[in-house]
Amino acid sequence: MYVIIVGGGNVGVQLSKRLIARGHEVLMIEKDGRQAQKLGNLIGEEHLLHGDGCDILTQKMAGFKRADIVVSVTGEDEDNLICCQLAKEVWDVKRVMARVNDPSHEAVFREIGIDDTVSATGIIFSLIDQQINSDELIPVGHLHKGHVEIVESFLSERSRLIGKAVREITLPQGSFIVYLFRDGNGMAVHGDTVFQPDDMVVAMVPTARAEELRTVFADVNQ
Amino acid sequence: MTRGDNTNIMAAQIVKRNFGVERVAVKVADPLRAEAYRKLGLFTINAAALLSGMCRDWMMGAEFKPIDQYNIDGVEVDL
Repeated sequence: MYVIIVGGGNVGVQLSKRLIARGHEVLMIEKDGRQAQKLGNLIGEEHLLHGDGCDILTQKMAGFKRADIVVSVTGEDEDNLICCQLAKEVWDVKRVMARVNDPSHEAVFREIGIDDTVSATGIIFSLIDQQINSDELIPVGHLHKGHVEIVESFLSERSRLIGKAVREITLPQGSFIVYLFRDGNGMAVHGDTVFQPDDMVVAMVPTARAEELRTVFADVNQ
Repeated sequence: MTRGDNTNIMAAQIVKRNFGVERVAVKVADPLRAEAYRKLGLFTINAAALLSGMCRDWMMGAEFKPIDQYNIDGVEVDL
């Protein structure tokens, strides 16, 4: 696959090294001249283009037209957004992904049509959040332009679900419990599956009903 | 220059989509980017295109056109 990576910071370098090792055709675009020189030694001159990844002529030179994937991982959300938007709208790139540095921008990106975003802050926050609130739903992905969320939840021993079978539980409309991790093993969920403490439940839920689902999973005293 | 462009374009899109403001104009320094976003439905103002267009009209003794007519002039994107 031909993958274009915009932004030669730590994220971009690690990403391109791995992709090159996997045998993909990789081109990295870096704006800063001095950084670009360093990158030449790190990942190889043949994988590097010195230029502005948001500039349409640079994009033409880089071959955005035949790119399978464009990933924009600069430290500036504006640049990531514009780069991905141009890739999608001007060059018709099928898959684009943007790094989001400020999690509050995630909704904006989605609204503008960049469905695939990755946010380090968001991921770290989810991990910490997961430690604090055992009954919280952890968003792990979204489908259908963010209208459907895939969430996971660790059941504490006080959860309302403990000792109940799946068929006894009333879930919000349109949501499903799809998978279960117990003692480190993944297992399919049936109507007869009975929940135990420390189960990690994976569910799909319409985003608007996520709060309803949270109360279904919540601890008894809440 | 380009950073400013991207910030402006992002801000304009947020204002238009999330706040429903109908009349949104955005200054874009890069003529190619201005043209690309004009095609995507943003009202972009490009200083170079505007000034060169007006100068040409003045030299030719032609009437000045409405402001949005000058963005299209002289920008050819050969993809």
